[in-house]
Amino acid sequence: MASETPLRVVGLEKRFGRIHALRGVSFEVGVGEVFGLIGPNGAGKTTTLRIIATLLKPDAGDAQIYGHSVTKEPEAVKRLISYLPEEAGVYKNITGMDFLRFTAEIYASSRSEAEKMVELGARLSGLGARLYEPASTYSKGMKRRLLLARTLMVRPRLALLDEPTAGLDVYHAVEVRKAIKRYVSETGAAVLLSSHNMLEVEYLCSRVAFMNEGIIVDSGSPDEMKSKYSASNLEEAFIQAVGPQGGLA
Amino acid sequence: MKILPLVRKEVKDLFKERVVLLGMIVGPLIMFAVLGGIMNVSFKAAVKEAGKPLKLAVMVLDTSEPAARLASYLEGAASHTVVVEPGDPVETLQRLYREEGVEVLVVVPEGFGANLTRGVPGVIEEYMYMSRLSFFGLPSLGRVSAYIDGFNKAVLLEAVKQVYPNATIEFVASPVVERGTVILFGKPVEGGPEEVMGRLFAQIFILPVMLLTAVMAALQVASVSMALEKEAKTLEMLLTLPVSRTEILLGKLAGVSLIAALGALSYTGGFLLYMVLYASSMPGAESMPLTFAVSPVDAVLYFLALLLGLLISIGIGILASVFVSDVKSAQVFSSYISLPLILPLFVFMFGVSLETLPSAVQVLLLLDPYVHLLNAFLGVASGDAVKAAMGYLGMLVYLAALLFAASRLFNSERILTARFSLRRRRGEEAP
Repeated sequence: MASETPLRVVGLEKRFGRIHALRGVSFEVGVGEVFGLIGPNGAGKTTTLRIIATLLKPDAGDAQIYGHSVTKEPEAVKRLISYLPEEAGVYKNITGMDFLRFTAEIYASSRSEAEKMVELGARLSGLGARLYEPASTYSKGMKRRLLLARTLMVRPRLALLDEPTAGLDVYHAVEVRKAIKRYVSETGAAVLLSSHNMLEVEYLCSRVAFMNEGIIVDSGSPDEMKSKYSASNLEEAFIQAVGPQGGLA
Repeated sequence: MKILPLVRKEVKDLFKERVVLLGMIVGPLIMFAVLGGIMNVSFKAAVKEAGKPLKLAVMVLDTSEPAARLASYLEGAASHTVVVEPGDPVETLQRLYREEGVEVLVVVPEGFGANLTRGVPGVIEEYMYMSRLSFFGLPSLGRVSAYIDGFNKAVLLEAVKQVYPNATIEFVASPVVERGTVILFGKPVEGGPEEVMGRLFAQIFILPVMLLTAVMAALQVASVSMALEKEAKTLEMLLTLPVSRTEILLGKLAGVSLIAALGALSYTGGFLLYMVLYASSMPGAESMPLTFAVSPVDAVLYFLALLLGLLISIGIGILASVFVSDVKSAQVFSSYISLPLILPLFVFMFGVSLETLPSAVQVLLLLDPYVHLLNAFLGVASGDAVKAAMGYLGMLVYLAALLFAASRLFNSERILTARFSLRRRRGEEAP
């Protein structure tokens, strides 16, 4: 059943053999909201994103995108989302422009819509003439910008960004963050992102969730979290919330 | 349905992949052509060498009339013949080679004529001087044998003429000539059993080679295609596109089929080029008459059989590559799987028929999808509708099972989590 809530996650459980990756994860993301998942490696951020992206099936619980269940209606969900995996790569033998065109042809319902998507993607990537060269010649940062452009150019109603600025230098990271912020303010779309970079999270997110060992420890706006844990920044607030050893204990 | 963009992407990415372009499309064509060219040049050189005037020496140690006749016959046959005085044959030939370039010395030993007169074969000795390691020198001896054969027939003709006054050399060579017709698969084919079998074997030999190259190309391309997605870490993104996973699978199948067809064409073209270059180097080579005539209906049936075979290969390749994480591992893993499956085709390459094998072996071979492909081809070729139908049916069952398994895998998490890495097996860090 359709709903106006971009994302509702309820009691997600996921095991990989003996590893209990998610232990009842629940949260919601509202319209025009950028929601950040913060946590150390192995906290369950990527697993959560992959379940929402329909790549993995939860052992229990569900996630609904605008009311569509990721387990029961994956095809409907895929039309509403666009996912940027943390370690995503590009097709090395085709050009950046061909890659954008390929994505646009899949998402667009008409040729003109596809052209508009490609135009937006080319602008968001900032790769200029390099877009016409094979992606194998791109630096890591260029590939990441192309991938982010591909994710946002299709104007998803929910963008799933796993470490969106991973591998980017400070200048390009700033550009990418601005692009995400501009995209949200222009489209009113929702964004769920995960990041290790607390500066990035504070700059982009209207709300955050602290994750540790497959559990959402706490959530709220960055200011609320800092105030709640009497911390000067989110890093300190996170450590206060999960304890000094965190997931490394 | 959004399959077209998926197919286009697949073809573009695969066609520009070095492993595919060089290894499966350009490589075979060049490799076979170069091989054929080398064989062509070598054989032409051998023929040229064999065509050079033969310098022959004859040493007669027998004073009989037949020995003198043989010496005289050899003098007339070879373009340069010297009759030498009796002596040590080895030393004589070494000296003659140094001084005059004589390569072969024929020694007619004592008793040669007496033997012939008694009706016992006369023995001659032949010495050949080889100055280098080369097969090209061997025709010299062959030519001397041809002279001796001519002399033998002349001797026989004399004897035979006493009974058949009009006898000819051809008569002596073969008084009775066979002319046969073989009823092959219900159709009469001119030629003796040996000749027809020779032509048939040549075609049967080519058939498995062509099928083998086509299915191997398809299997390799399919496994590389999936491995490229995993190696480039594009698979997760591909699976979250707003198309069903079955469509993604079909897009891959179609794209890989196109590239595999190019690969198969390259292999077949290269192989034919090799055969043409090789055959054209043979003196007096004639085109092999076709024992199987191909009608338009047969051609369609062959195409359908090959298409099913290619799709089966692609299915196996995709299934196999689900378990790998990089292109190199995909190539190794697919060869582990393909080798036992294609080995039976080698058995049939040597003309062995499935029906002649023990029942247990037949059952075992029928588990191999490529045996059904060969059966479909042979069934169509021989007009055996039941055999052809069983071949097609066997392939359809396999294809359905493979597509079902591939579809299940594509719709499960295994496609992302399954791993077989050559690098990891060697103890290196996994990517």
